[in-house]
Amino acid sequence: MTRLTMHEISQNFATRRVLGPVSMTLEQGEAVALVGPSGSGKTTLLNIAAGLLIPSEGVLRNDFAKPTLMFQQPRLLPWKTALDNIALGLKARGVPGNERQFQAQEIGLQLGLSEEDLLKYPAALSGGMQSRVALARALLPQPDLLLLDEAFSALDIGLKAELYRYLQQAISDTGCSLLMITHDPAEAMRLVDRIIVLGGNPGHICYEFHTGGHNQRQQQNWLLERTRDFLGIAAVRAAFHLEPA
Amino acid sequence: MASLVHRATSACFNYLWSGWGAASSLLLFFAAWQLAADIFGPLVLPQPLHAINRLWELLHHATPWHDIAVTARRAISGFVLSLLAGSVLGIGAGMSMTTSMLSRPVITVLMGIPPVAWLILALLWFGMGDGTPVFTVFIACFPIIFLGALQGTRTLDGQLKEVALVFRIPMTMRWKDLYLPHIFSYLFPAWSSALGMSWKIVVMAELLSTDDGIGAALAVSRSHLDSVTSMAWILALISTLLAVEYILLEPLKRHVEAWREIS
Repeated sequence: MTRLTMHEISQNFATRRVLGPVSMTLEQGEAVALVGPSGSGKTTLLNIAAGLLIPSEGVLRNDFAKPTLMFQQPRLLPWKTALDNIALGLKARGVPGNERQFQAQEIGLQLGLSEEDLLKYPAALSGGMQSRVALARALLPQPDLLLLDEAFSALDIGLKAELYRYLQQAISDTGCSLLMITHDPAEAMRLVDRIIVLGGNPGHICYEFHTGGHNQRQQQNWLLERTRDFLGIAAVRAAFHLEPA
Repeated sequence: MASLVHRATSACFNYLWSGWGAASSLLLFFAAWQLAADIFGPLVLPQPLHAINRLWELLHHATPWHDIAVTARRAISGFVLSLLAGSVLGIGAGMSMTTSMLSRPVITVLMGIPPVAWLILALLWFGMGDGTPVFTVFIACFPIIFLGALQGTRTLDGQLKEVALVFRIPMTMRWKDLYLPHIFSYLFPAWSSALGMSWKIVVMAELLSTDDGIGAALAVSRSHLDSVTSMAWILALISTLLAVEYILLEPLKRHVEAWREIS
């Protein structure tokens, strides 16, 4: 079975421990969100999962063959057109030029970019357009594990809803696993099966919340209710330094 | 295809249109020159028209073209040498913290040495001939290009490297698609200022060290107290500099840095 396992992972920067020990598992096809206050080590944990950071202690096992990451900022290459940015992952795999341009154009159009936008450089695109390009770039190589680092936090609610729909579709089509950081409990409720709450300093897991309701996630009432349930939990409130309910 | 043609023509038109600003400032410069010539008289400062006429006459003979070719050969050799050495060594030094810290003070020292001091040393080492101007150009341009390459390489940020890791980009593609374009955006301005500088320095070096080339021709006209011919040569120098800047470098820059334009 393909899975991502972290066992007793901790991370020190210089002499200061910022995270851990943390143990968690992400199964194939599962979607998990990391939430928690700033400084609780969410990004550190995600970077460890992505292989960008080697943990100071603990064991990481990642069976996923093709993980990709969508960063908090779009991080597009400014000297490449939107189309070439989207095709970056395919180019790295040696997919020939015509083929990758064709595929990049297809996914770009699906994500609401026009043919004209695709020929522009990132500097000429709005923030929302850049995020569409970044999502397309992360999805085009057909990852089996998608990591999102607060990728949608700077977008307007309309665009968020549109990208959520697209993301949900892509995940259910490919069976890709998802590990995401978010500050928005409703966003987590909508996209994932399990919410892991990190808190404290150094950050550790304070609570795990199973969202359930696979078929009801589109319904506004269900989302509000579950979000209210989640925010009513004493351990969650404590992690965010909120007053007891 | 049609949109490509349209883009190319509109870029060309925009470029030519932007020339009006340059043209008007040049004309103002000529007006000021004329005024100064009227005040100080022809021996001190000849009129612009006289200098232009003399240049026109000069260019009808074979010797000036020979001199221009010799000067260009020296300037370009020195420039190309410093371009190669400066770019390669600068990138190499930039890849490690230690070498970049070690090289910075040396470069500051090199930048601080006036080209004329290098010229004296070069005269001692290479004597009269091509070696002296080529070396002087090389050593004056080298630190500028080295510094550009060093800064470009030092500013390759972790963010770019993380993108390369996440998308598992192979090493050759990392350099070609991620690192070199970034470094190039620092290198290109350094190359273009070094090219301008090489043209000025080569003339100075020739003035003192050779018997052919534009610098030597200037020395001759000076010794004859022929201010019109001196001015004509200076005009020739400036026009080639402007031609290289606006016909070669500027369009090239617009092309390679199109991504910077927010259209």
